Amino acid sequence: MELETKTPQNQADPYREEPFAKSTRYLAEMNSLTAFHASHCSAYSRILHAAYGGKTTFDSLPALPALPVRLFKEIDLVSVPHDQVLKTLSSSGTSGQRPSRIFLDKETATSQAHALVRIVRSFVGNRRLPMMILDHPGVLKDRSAFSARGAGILGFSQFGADVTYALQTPSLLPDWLAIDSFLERHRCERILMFGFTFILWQHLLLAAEQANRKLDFGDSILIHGGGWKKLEESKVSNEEFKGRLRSTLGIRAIHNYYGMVEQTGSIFMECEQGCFHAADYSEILTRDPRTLAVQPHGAPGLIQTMSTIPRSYPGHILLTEDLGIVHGADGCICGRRGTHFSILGRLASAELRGCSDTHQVPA
Amino acid sequence: MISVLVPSAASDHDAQLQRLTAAGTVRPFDPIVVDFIDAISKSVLLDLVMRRIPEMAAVAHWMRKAHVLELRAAFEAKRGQRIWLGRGTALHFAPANVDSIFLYSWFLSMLIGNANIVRLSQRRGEQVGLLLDKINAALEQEKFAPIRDRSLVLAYDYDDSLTARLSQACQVRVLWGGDESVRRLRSVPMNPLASEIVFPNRFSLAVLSAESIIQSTPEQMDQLAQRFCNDAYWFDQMACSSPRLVVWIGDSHRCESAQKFFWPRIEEELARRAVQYPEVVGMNKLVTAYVSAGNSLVDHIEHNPTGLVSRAHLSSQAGPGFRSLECGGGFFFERKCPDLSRLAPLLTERDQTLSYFGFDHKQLRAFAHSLPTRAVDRIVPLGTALNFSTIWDGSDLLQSFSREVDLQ
Repeated sequence: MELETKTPQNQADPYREEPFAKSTRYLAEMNSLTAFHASHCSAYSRILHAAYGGKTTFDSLPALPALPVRLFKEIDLVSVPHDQVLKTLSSSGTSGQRPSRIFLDKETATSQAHALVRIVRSFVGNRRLPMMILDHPGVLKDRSAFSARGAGILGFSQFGADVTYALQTPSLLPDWLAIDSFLERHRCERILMFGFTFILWQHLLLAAEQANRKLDFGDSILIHGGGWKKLEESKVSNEEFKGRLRSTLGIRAIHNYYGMVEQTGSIFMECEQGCFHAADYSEILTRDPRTLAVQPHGAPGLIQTMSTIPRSYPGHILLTEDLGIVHGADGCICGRRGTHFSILGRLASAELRGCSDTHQVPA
Repeated sequence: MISVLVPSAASDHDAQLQRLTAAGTVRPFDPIVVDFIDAISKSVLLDLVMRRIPEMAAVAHWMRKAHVLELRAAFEAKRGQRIWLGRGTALHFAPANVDSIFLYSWFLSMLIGNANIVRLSQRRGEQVGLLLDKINAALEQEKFAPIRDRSLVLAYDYDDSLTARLSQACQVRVLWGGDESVRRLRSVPMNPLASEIVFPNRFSLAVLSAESIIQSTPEQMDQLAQRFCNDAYWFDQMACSSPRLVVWIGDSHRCESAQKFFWPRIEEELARRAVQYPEVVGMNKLVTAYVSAGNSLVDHIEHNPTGLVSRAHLSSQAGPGFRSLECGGGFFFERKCPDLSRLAPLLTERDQTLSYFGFDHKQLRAFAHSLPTRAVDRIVPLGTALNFSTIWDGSDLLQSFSREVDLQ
């Protein structure tokens, strides 16, 4: 079965589609992907049969079947023959849990890369900028750690020139020499920076503050992601995060992104107003965690993300365990169109005590 | 860290261990033990907070003198003229999921005359603390000194060397818990003369006659819903005896009518009890339902698996593997069966409690005799799945805690 790609990739700006036109196009693409996966992934088809009577065409985005994102940690879901699987991505996974396993074929991997390029370029421009990775180069070498973090660094490195790492392997201490000479080389140039939220906070910002170092990255743009969980535990808000990065490191523009290994490529970037935006590849809605009813704009709920990219695995509609608020389908004052939203955090974990262990399992 | 919880006077577990092994056994159903257990029952029933907790009320009821004397009568009838004595020191490892088990295990062993060491889970619920306070208060009375000298309740983190030391000191070891911890504990050697009783993970089911449900009056249905909810929801469906599979007996059409009749009553009853779980429990249920469907265990999932009642219909080709999907919080597999005799071959050694509605003893007796090897240890009326019985997992605990002196 051939799939028609209607995402307007020829446009440079992924945030320009008129909302009504998008919703019509998007529903058609989601229905077509649902039918494609139902006929190519037997486990997915069994789920649709059990939960939706085998239906593959739905008349609205909320009606479409969403898979809980945790399902990818529990079972292997793949929609292409095994010999076409180019690589398997795995999430870092919280301790004690199996990581997600995401199977990519050439086509899906390529679409992921294209999506990332269009989205990121709309923020950093088409020119390759001198780039500093706020991490250590060992992440790419360590096989066991080569997961979302390594893939993220590799994916973003393509936007930079003179890619330089700010931290040392394996100590994660700031490589002041490398940083200083990088800044020296690129004085007065626009600089691109990329890192994982918690790593750069812990190992660069706090380290710089402790060492009483003040840096000035000048005309710089930082893109960071990976989640707020650990910063939330240390009660650091986005405002404080940005404020301290500005005052200590002199970073001018800071953009968080929301993404997951299960939908690599079609990330949600944070705009200048602090809202995450769906690009033309993606869409988002929130649901009441108990009833799964779709929440109106402005009401908090479980985030459901959609992406037109997943073709080799049925991950086009995912129910996450993150809570968020959709602010609107259009009209963010940053000027970008499309659904924009905020993240509130993760669904609190809780354990029913269960018949699992008397006690003696080592912690 | 090792903390001694009972007796409160003994802060040093080693000294108490020595006192306890030196004290030895008392006679089975010694009046002081019966009085002590009755005293605990009274203090729970007099406690305005505890008596309102259904689980504690059930425990208090079980501990009443009248009930303990019934246990004694049954014990004596079984024993006849034979000589049954306590084994010595019993070492109990309590489970984390059901707070009252430690008490049943301990008190039954106490009734037979044993000295007892109880290791409690670090994840124990608040109710355990309330019970221990009552026990410690009673043990301060001088008349209960013989029990104080024969009791040690402790909590400690993972510590094989302490487990080994305690295991060398006991004559009987009792393990309650998940398969993993049972496996681990069993690998710790014990006194060569000691015997061991093990209660690992089990699975339980409810078997309902579709016809009987359909013919129930609204009042009967309300009662039925209460009984089912007690069995399934008291311990968040995490007790081994709580049903996780509901089998409907009858022709397909009757079963469906009965389901339509039954489940809304359950939802009403849960609403009446204001049962509510953390939101993530709903997600666990959604994931469990989809994992089951993806793995061909289930062919139909009822709408909204995140609600209080989640139902997934087992597919005809589903093997026994669904039993290991432990979800809790009201997740039910369902299966239809034309009659009881067709159910028996589907049961396995993991199956412990079968709670029933709408069958008479004659039918159940025939069914019990047709059970496959090791399958099903208890067949009890719906609503009593969690009732503790001295016959547990296939053996009589009072008998397992005692030894027989063969007088010829």
